[in-house]
Amino acid sequence: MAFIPSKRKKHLLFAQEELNLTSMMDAMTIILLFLLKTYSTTGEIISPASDLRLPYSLSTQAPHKELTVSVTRDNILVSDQRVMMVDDIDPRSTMIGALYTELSRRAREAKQNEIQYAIPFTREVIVVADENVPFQLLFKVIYTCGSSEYDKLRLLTIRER
Amino acid sequence: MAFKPSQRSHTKIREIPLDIRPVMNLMVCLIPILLYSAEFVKLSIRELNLPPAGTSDRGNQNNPLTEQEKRFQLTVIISKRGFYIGNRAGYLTGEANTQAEPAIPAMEGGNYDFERLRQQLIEIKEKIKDQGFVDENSIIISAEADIEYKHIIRLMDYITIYTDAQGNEKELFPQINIGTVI
Repeated sequence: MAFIPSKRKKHLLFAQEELNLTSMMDAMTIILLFLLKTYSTTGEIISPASDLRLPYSLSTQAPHKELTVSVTRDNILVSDQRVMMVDDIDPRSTMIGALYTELSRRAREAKQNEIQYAIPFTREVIVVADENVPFQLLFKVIYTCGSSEYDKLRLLTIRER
Repeated sequence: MAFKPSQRSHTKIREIPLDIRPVMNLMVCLIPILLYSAEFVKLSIRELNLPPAGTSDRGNQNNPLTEQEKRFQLTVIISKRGFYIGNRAGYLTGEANTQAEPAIPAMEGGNYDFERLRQQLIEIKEKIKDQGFVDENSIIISAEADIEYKHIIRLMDYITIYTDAQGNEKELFPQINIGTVI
C-alpha cells in the first residue's frame, strides 16, 4: 500500500531557487580565453578538401595570404577554382598547359593592378599539394609556376610540434 | 589591545545574486564567432625560390663573371632504394661500392634513413666550408618520378638546419633547389 503523503510537509513553501550559473561562467571564460589565443586574423589560406592532406614539416615560417595553386589527388586548382584534372596532364611535356594559361593570365592582371592601383606584384604563390602527390607532378607544377612569372614558391605544410 | 568583536552583531549579510545575464549574452555570441575563426591546425611554409624565368644555368655559364665562380652543386637524389648524394664530379658510393647503389640505402619497411643522411651532409658541409664555393649553402633535390611529396618535404626539414653537439641550431643547406626528375 502506498504511503499517505505527509500532511505537515504539504504546506512547506518552496523557496524560489536561482539557477546557479557560476561554474558554467567559469567554463565559458576559459573557453573564451582559449579561443582568443588561437584567434587568427590572416583569414583562411586553404579550404579543406577530402582529397587534400598536407604534409608535416618542422618549418616555423608563417604563411601569408597569396595566390594558391592546389594539387589534390584528382584536381589542380588555382584560388579554389578548378583548372584541370590531374589525369588530363600531358605525360610527355614538362609544362602543364591549362595551368600555365591560367597563371599567366593572373600574372598579367596582377601587373596591370600594380600599374593602375599600386598593388605590388609579389610573384609569390602558395603551392598546396597533397602529401601523396608524386614528384613528377610536383616538378611539373613547380616548373609551370616558374615559367609563368610566379617564381617565389611557398610550399604549404602543417606545422609539427 | 584589539577590541573584541561585538557579540550583539547578528545582522545577516544578505546575498545579492549577481546579474550575469548580459555577460552570458556576450559569451554566447563571442564563442561561436571565435570558434569559427579559430586556427586548430597551425600551417607553415617552406620557401622555394626559383631562378627567374628565361635565365638558366646554361645562360649563366656564358657570363664571364660567373665562369670564375667555383660551384660545388651538391645534389641529393631520392629513389625508392635510398638517397644518392653527389655533385657534378660523381656520386658517393654506398657499402656495395658501386655507383648504382645508393649512398644511404632506405631502411627496411620503406622508411628513409634521414639521420644518416644528415650526418653525411654535415660531414660534407665541414669539408666544403671556406673553400670558396659560391654555392656552399645550396643543395639540389631531385627524385624519382613516383616519390611522394611528403618525403621531399621531410628531406627539406632535415637538410636545412641541424643541431650540433652543443645544442645550437645551425644552418646546413638552407638554399634548396629542385632538380629534374630522374
